[in-house]
Amino acid sequence: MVHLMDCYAYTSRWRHRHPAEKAAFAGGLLILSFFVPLSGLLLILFVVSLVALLGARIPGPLYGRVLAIPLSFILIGASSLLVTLSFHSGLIHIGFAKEGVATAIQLTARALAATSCLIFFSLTTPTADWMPLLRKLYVPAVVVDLMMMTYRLLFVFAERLSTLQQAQAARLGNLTFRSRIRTTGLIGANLFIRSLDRARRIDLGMESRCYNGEIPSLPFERKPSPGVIIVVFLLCLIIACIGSITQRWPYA
Amino acid sequence: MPDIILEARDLHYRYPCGKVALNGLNLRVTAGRKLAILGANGSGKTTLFLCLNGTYKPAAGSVWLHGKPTGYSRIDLLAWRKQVGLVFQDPDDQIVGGTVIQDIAFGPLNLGHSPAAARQIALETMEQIGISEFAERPAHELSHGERKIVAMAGILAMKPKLVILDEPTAGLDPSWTERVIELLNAIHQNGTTVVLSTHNMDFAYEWADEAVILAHGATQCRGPVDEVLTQDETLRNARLAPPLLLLAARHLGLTTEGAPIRSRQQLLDRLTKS
Repeated sequence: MVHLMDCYAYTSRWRHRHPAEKAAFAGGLLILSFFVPLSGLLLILFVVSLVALLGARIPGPLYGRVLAIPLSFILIGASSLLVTLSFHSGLIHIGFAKEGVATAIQLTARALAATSCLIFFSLTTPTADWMPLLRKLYVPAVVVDLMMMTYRLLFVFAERLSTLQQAQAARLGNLTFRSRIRTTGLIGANLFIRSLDRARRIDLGMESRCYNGEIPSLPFERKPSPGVIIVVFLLCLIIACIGSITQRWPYA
Repeated sequence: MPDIILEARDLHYRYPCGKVALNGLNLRVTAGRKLAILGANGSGKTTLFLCLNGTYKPAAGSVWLHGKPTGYSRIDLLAWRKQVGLVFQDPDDQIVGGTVIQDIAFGPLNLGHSPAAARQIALETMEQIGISEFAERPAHELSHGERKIVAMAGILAMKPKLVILDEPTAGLDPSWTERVIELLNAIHQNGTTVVLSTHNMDFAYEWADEAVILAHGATQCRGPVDEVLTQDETLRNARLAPPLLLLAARHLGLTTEGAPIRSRQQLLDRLTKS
């Protein structure tokens, strides 16, 4: 799924928009989703989905599929708020917690709104595009370098893992549960050794290209549009105001 | 007097596991020539290349660049690697950028170019090689052949005087091999000296001006390619086979007169004539 999302981000209609613009939009609404009441959360979900589907033209089924995965976890977590456990006369009583309904709805909406912001960003901005942005945000170079190397190697190892799995399957390594366990262990050990070897060889490769302790990266060609940043700021302000006004409404 | 751009004198290198990779190896690279290093697996080709680029420091012996022994300080290595670029056999050992343009700009940025200049160099290099359409593609989405070309572009963007390529045609289909050969010829025509290692004897025979046979970490034979590759005994001792083209020419009795046959087209022409 991560590979699919990253692949999509490279072909996204908004791929060439400045990552800072998209980060401002997604990040601003994400931060807002920690504070606003239910009405504000629903508004965030609506706005993000609208921008994602109509602005960035992310296909609806893809957006829905990606959102459905965290939603399943969120629902499982929120459902625990609807259950009460009590011990009475030596027995465990399981009951429905009426007072937990509002909290569960709030929690689901909050998590869903925040997740939709992240998904919007992930589906419009490839990882390689936003990493240089971290340097501007004063994230330590060593952390950014590690993230870049991890990102690059993730795909190298995913390819290797797929080849190893196919090779083991071709030799009937997945026939029984026992053999599957054994095969998984062997593949894990093989990948571990190969990852150490790959790290050594990449180090040599970087050294031979005059690596000087920090992986440099090209900044984005254009500067972020101040107009877009202002619009995003106003949007956040409007949603915060609506959230504040509707805070005292019933079910808000 | 030929201009010797790079020279290895009595190189010795031993891996920490005790395996001797280079055992008194001598090599001279003449400026403007196309040199093929031929040797079986484990003969020391990759280790030699890593020594020639300053990545490995030999236990004994020295590497000379433009007639001066090389140093191993950071400044010396920077100047050395700026002139001698090394393309690894596996492009995944070399590609570090998320996208193609990010990776090609890695070298120029390390050399101190500004981001704008590095971007310009990367774009120019991609245009020269004919891979401009790859610029914004993620590295992991490229095929093996495309990654090989991108790895070469990453080195060429550093504008070295000498390019060393470790098995540039390994794992490539005929069409990619042809593209790599065209690229190597274009690099050479631009005035860059090219050194490569290969197991593909036919490719070496057709492409190179000079050849060096390596075995057991030492030079067994060196000279013009049509002299070196006709030494059957030396080739056999180095666990190599003569080029098929040469065998075919011998079998058909076409080696005795005229210029040596160095390409399939020349063989066909000679056959048509006879």
